[in-house]
Amino acid sequence: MTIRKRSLLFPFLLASLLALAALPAHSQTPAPSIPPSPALEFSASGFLTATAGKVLGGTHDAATDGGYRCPCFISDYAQAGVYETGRLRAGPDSRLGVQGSVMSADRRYGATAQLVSRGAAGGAVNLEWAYGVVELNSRLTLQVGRKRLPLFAYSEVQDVGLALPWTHLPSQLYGWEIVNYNGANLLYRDTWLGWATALNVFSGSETSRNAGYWKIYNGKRSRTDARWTDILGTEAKVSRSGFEARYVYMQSNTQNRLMGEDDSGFSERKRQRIHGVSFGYDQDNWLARAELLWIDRTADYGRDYAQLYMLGYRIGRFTPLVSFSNYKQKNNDPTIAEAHHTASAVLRYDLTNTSAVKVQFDVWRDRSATDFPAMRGNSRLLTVSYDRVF
Amino acid sequence: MKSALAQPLRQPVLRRTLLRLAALALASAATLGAPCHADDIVVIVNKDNLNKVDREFVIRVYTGSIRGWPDGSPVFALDQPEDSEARQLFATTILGKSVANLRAIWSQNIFTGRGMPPKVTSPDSEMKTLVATNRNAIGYIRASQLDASVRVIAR
Repeated sequence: MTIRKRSLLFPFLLASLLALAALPAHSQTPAPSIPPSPALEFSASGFLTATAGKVLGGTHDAATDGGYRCPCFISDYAQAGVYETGRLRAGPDSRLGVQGSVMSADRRYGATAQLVSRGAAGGAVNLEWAYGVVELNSRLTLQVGRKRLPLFAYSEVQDVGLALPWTHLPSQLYGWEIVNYNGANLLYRDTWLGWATALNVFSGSETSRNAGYWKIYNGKRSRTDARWTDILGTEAKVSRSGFEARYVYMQSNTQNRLMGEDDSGFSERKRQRIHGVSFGYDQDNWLARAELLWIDRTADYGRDYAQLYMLGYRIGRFTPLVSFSNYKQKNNDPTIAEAHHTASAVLRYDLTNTSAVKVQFDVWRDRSATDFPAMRGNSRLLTVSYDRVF
Repeated sequence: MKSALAQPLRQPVLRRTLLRLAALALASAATLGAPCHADDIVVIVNKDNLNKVDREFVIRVYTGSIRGWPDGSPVFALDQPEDSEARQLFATTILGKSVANLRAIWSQNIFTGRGMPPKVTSPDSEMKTLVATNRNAIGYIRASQLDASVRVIAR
């Protein structure tokens, strides 16, 4: 989101700040023996991912490349992160983010903003997170403002490279036109039957101007706006002894408009329903994840199915891992159905507790139907990344 | 000829006594009040905190997945400096994770608004004092620094 284009953000922030002021003080203040803290606690943090990648080979269909120099590897649909063939490229996955927070001394009220500069967007700085938070009690948290949509297991943290096993997330799951929303969410965390449990409900809307996702489908020089309205979703997560299971459901209306000489406004609203299931294990040396996705867009073009499987093992500071992700579309017109998969091998090395380097090799295989009209072809990609938080 | 050392073991009374002592020693080692190695890490809470929690609870608090005690009061979690030996030991022996892995987990929490990391304090004596004087606090110290002012919930 570009700052100057997002005037709706400020009413949300204002509402959250008013909520902060209206709520009574917390009854569980720290004991007097704790060293006195200032009334407000300011903190700043950030993350950096510097990635260089090169397409090592693949196939190319000049009729569908949309102006990209292919063979191409799509690393981030939402940001139009595409590695084109030719020289070493640093843009698609590199990013720098800074976050500022202010919190009350008892950490019950706060506000956070996050600015992100992306190589995929030519270094433009965008305000991607801005929300107020109220800890209603030790179990309930209310957040109001602009946040990341919690669609998949790594969605909310997809920009923080240090927190990810990969140099870039598998595109087959993490590849949609909208990744943020303006709205509110209520998060409940507790222990049920011995399991740490988190229930989150969220609602809002988002309009993505000049959406990167649609450049991949409509052409590199195209300009398409995407809009999701009436977003309503819930996620449930349980975890115990390193094992985690997660389910997410989200529904919304979708619209888009391709900007051109005969601008006809947004398309008719179409309903979508998203279901996601994820299982993960991360304890001691092993880390593993399986993630399944099903999207019902029958009113638009059909249904989407995607799966991700990942297995890794920590050996000291090294973490080698392999993953496989698959996407298959069941289109109302089978002759244009999109389908592809990616197999990846990654080696991560933790330089320090706050920095890591990763090397990743991906093989993308296109399995789309013969008349699929957008970017198509196979590709092989090698990326090296440096991730740091500060 | 039997050795003089082995001879007493064949005496039923003495053997039973030795077996009981051995069993007692094993049982003691399994209890929280057992003496332990000076470098061991013990997880401590306030003596007035009567919540029954285990190592899994400690892991959840220090990875940000829960924020409250079972009775609903908020957890006031304390940590030692990232480069301290105590924190390294706590991360690997109690939480089963490397400090780097924990940093990655807290990066997720910080940048997604799911929580802020525990407040950092040092050294052991300061953490012990904070826990001893705050009913909702949880922390960890070396076993050699343990005294009756706090209650041990995991080691």
